[in-house]
Amino acid sequence: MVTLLERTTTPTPEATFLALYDREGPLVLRYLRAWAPAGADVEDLVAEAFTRAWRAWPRFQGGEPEARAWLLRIARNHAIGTWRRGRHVRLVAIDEDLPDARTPGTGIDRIELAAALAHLSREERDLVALRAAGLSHAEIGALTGRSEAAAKMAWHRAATRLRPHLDREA
Amino acid sequence: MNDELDPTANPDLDRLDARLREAVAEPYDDYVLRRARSRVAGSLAAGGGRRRGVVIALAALIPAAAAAVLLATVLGNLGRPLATHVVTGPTPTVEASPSPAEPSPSAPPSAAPSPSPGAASAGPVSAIAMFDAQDGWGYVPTTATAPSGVVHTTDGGVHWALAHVPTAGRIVLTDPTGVRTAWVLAALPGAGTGGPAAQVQALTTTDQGANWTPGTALSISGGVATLSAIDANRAWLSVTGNGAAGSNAMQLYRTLDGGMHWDLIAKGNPGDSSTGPGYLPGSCQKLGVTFANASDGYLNLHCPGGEYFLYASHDGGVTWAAQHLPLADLTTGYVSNCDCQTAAPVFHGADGFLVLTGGVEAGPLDTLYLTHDSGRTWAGHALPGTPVAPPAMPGAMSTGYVVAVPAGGGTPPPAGTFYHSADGGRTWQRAAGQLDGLGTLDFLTDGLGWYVQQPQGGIPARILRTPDGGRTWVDLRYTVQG
Repeated sequence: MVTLLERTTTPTPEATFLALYDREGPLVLRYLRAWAPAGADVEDLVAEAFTRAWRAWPRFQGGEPEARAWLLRIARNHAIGTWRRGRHVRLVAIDEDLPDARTPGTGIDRIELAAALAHLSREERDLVALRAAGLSHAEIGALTGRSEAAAKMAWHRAATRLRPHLDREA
Repeated sequence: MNDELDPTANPDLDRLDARLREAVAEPYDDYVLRRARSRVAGSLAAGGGRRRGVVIALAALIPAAAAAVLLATVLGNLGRPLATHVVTGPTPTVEASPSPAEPSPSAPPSAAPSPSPGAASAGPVSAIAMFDAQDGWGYVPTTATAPSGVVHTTDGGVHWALAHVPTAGRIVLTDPTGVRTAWVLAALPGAGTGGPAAQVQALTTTDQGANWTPGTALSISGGVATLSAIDANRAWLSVTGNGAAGSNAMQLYRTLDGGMHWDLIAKGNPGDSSTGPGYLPGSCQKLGVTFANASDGYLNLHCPGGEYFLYASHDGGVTWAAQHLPLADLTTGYVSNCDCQTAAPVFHGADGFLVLTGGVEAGPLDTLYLTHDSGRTWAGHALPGTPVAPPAMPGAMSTGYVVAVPAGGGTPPPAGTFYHSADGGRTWQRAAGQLDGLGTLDFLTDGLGWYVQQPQGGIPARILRTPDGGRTWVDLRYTVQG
């Protein structure tokens, strides 16, 4: 019974896409959380971003490095669209008590972070989100069409503008 | 890069860099990712358009057995554990109306076929609450192809129909006087233009969703809105908002006329230590407010290192005071100085329970608190693990059921274990039946219950029903009609 499945060696598009999810999902989650308003349902955002990506998957032609940039662009567009629509009210059932975004972070509270990020331009906010998600300056540079040094300089400018709005020191 | 020559070198910004990375990561992210993955996989299985067409087309041309193999192959590549599950039936994911199953053999759910439920236009039901063996309500979360919604069943969960409620949120059921009322909290588009303002609206129905009475839309400033109702007219709406680290703001509104009018009766802001009528505590993360009756209400909290994890009001929500929770199974001492939080209490009249989760370095303090006086006093009993969802304690709470992750099972929870209590929650034993994955329980009696299984890691979304306290479960293979 099982062997029929185990012998399936040619990956289907679905399997390939889910492997992409497994590899890039954590990064996309952190990136979206940095972009999203406090209280947003990040599970919703991740699921929707990847579902959008799946719709566009037949048109994607690149390899692994391009896939990350491609995914982040989709995630960014989704995050911006969500932000514009103001879909940030999360309704919570009395019959559900799963972990959610209400648990505060340990270093900077996300409500505080969201408020501080609102003072940045969209480009600055994106730089901060990319960096917070875990990308190196070189990766950010490649993603945004800059050299590593230019990307680092741009991030420092954004972080310098952000810092006064985060009034609580670690 | 050499820092001495690097114009961007700045230790303060380096620290900020690290703090920002901390701020966007949570210890339960793996759990969130698994849930999101299941939803993405569900979208792939439902089609996302292209793949689904292939399956349908081939299924029409080839014998059922071959179609089953094809589907098994597709599903196998979507993450189903290869060594434990085999799709044995025809192609349920492409059938609009799977055959309802009636209780029969006492097979554990893991041996049952696992069709993907629901019509293509709606996602799986993620939570249910039953009025009786037939009449119940459920919630369908947002998917890539459909908005969230509220669904209703009149046959015990086999068939569900989407309620025609705008922008449906989640549901609260009340039945204190025999008038079955379902409250739905809906999120409306923000009143502002791009700012954080938004509106929520409560709607009620007393005729199984045939007619809905919309309340007055209430502008809020974002955050999380929770609703507690005790009958068709009286409800409380708590809205959390911005705050500093470790604490948040909350506004508490009350309606006495089914949501037509809302009055702000209390609020709490970080750093504001005001007490007395109209003030909620300023400290800690305030999560939600639940009322047992018109007077007695409880504010549950997440408060790392705190002393109080519950606040109580006995005047309908105007005046609040901290309430200690005793240590589990002890008559002296109370919970304090731990990284703990309480979940919203659940009341059946004066009887009720709430769960405290969290712990100290020495170990977890997962505790079930029982009350028989509407929450004025609580007795704590150790749970067998960390619940993945609130326990079910039907009727007079003489028995209980919970899916929990035993201590040492790792967090976020990889899977739950099904436990039963025959003494009202004081002690727990592994139940005879078996349940897969994570899910929520709803029991009407000591025997009749439902398990809403969340899609996760290849485990499908489905609803199981037991007639005998969990010893046997039947997959309802439900459908959702738009």
